[in-house]
Amino acid sequence: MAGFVPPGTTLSGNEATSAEAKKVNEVHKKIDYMDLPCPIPYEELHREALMSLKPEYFEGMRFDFTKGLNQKFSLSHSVMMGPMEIPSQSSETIKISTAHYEFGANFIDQKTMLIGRVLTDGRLNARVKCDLTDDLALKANAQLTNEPHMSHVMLNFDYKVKLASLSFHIHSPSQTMKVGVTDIFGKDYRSQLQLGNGALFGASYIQSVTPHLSLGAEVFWAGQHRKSGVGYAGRYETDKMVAAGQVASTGLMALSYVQKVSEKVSLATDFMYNYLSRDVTVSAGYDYALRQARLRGKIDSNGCTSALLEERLNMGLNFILSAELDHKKKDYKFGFGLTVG
Amino acid sequence: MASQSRRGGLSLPDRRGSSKQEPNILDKINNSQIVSKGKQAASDTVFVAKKLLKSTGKAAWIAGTTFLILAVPLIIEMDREQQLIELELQQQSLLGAPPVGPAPPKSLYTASNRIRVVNKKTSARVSVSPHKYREVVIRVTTRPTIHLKNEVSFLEYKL
Repeated sequence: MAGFVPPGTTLSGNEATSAEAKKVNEVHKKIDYMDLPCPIPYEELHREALMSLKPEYFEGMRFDFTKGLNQKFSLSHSVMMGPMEIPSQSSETIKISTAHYEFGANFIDQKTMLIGRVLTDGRLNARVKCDLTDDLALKANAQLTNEPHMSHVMLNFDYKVKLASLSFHIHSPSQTMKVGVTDIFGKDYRSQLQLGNGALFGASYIQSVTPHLSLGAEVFWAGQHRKSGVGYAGRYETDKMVAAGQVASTGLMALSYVQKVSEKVSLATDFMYNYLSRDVTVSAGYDYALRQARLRGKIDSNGCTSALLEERLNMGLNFILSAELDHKKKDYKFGFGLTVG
Repeated sequence: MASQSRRGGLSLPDRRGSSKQEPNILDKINNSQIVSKGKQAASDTVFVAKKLLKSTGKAAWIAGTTFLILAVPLIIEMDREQQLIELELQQQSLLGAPPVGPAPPKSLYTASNRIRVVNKKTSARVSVSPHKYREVVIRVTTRPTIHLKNEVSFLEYKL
């Protein structure tokens, strides 16, 4: 709102003409409150900060090979070897070396996307995203495992009406609690309703208030655990920075700030505070996206430092190095990998 | 045993000159206040110095490993980026290609920058300059087998 001249002033001579010119500019750039952009979904509030500060660190060796057979169809082979942490009762973490191979197939079309993965430890993952007609879209997600009660299926229908879109989720009840989710979004707002077994009910709503600012709130009620909570969120974004904040009555308060220093560099910080258990975590990190490499580094107030480097050795050949040092727990994890295709 | 009374059997012989003579001058010095305070101060200093050394060592270790993980890859990557930019600048200046022009010269570069590897150590690159200059540059680069930096040596032929 720079250059805004309050209407009651009288100026003389040159100043008047320049003020007139500024006023005209303001009229042209006047915010059209009827035409605000659609805000991002409530769950993705901290998306930029998470991209920079929480990439996928891994331990051990990783090799991914993707071979495209067609323009639309590709197969992927992936080998992962390394220690896996087993959650144990004592404070010592037990690491057991495991290795597995994963085979996957992807079919990507304009209207359809099908992804399937099968692992050597008996897990099968499948994801489908399909635009059945212009108005109706389908998303499905299925997972089968060896362990009992861990398999689940999720279906999601999206029906777009002129100003809104409804989506229903159906889960096969297992341990997961969702039974139905409805997403309605209009031109400048989004809302979501969730229903689950065990009397779980949740709703969230987010709306763009100005072209840069969007505010939202969420409410949830879990009858089984007799818990309910309210949360508020706000997000301010410009070309150069994104600031997001979230407060919930479960005690969680999270603020994040990402600044795009240049085309290649962006810096991010994150502040998480649980005001019920008085737990504070601050983290700061950088994200350098250069031509030959992408480097993300982060340092934490829990004494944890980590970095992830993806370097382009050749066309289609990426070399990945991941390091995580936890000075407090004296736990060091390093990983290397190669991605082809 | 030493604390048995003299009535019983054994007992340690009396220390010579224990309570009969005046304490030695050395004993005097040793028992004086200044010396004992000095000793206390010295042992405190040693204690503090040890702790300081240990904590400095710890801090140096943490700082060193953190710097190694956060900063060293960054420096290496930025250096490589700089080299790449220099190389491109050099290429551009050699072929005399101004970036402004109806047919952007970059398209010609990308089409012709196919490196054909002749053998493991040598590669040849043919690039065509923009239509203004009508010249073809053949560059042969040889790479040393063990290279820590991207040292290249090249010969250029202009037709």
